[in-house]
Amino acid sequence: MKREIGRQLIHLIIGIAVIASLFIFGQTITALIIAGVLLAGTLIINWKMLGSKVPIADWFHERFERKAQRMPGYGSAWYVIGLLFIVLFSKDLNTAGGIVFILASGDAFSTLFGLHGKRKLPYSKKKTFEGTVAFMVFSLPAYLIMGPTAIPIIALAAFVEGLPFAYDDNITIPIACIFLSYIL
Amino acid sequence: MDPISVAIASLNFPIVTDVSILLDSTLFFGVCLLALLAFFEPRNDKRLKVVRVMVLAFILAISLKEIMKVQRPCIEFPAKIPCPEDYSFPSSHAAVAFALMIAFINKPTYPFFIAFAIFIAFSRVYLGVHTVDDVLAGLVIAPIAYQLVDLLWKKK
Repeated sequence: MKREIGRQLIHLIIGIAVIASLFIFGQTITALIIAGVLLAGTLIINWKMLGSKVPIADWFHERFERKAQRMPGYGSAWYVIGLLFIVLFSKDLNTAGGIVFILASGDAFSTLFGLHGKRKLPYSKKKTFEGTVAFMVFSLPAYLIMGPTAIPIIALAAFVEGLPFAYDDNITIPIACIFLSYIL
Repeated sequence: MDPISVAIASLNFPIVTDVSILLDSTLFFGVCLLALLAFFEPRNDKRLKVVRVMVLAFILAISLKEIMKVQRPCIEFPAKIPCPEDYSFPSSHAAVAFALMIAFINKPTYPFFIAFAIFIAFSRVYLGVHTVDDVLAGLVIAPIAYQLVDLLWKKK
């Protein structure tokens, strides 16, 4: 549980840093920073997979990464890819900021509350009703960034988060949210 | 066009221009990718998978171009080559190059493929036919294509 709290706290902090960067530096520079982090991250993953020790990465991996993963940093890499997708494909800064907040806050709190949940969702064996409610409640501040369009996007994101996809939800949530933002 | 793309497109190095123009040719670029794959990846099943990923990344990129309908930067700013007639966002060259890069993430040659993909992305902006956003979108499409191929052709 302690590992999961730390993991979700980092998830949230990175999301807020991306929102700050979006409004300070704009879309292109933020995308360049995220892409730089992603490429550097994949180099670290490469070194780890080849058996090298990377002290800082090892420290984070031992404390915050989930145990059962395809490769070291797999979940983190998808989170960064999801953030880059939002920054590049959003139609404006407010939409990008709002969706980053939904992904960062909603996903983090749904995991923490979902772990203690008792009522399973009818469409997923792993996800709980409590987690979905937490996702919606803790995503609501996105309304302050993107206005009323945040409400249907939060609802869709919470639904997608609960779906039993083989795909990582750090990318399915951004794809669903961006798609809906263009329709609204 | 953003200032970073303008700055990159304003650079002028004859050798970089020549190599970038050469790689702009779809045929030459495709042959380069397949040659690199054939040379660095010995397993036929993995080669087939990577070809699928690159084809899917290309299809995703050209489909998104038609959906997003973002005009090429060379419509407003002079480019080093004739302005292509299709849309700009995302860059299909970058998407395919990054797709090849990801295939080597567990290999010692990965840094070379990162450098290759970054050069391809840089060359598109340098020639003036794409913006930084276009080529970075290629970086997003590549892992999505990779994951889709994993899902569509699951090992039984």
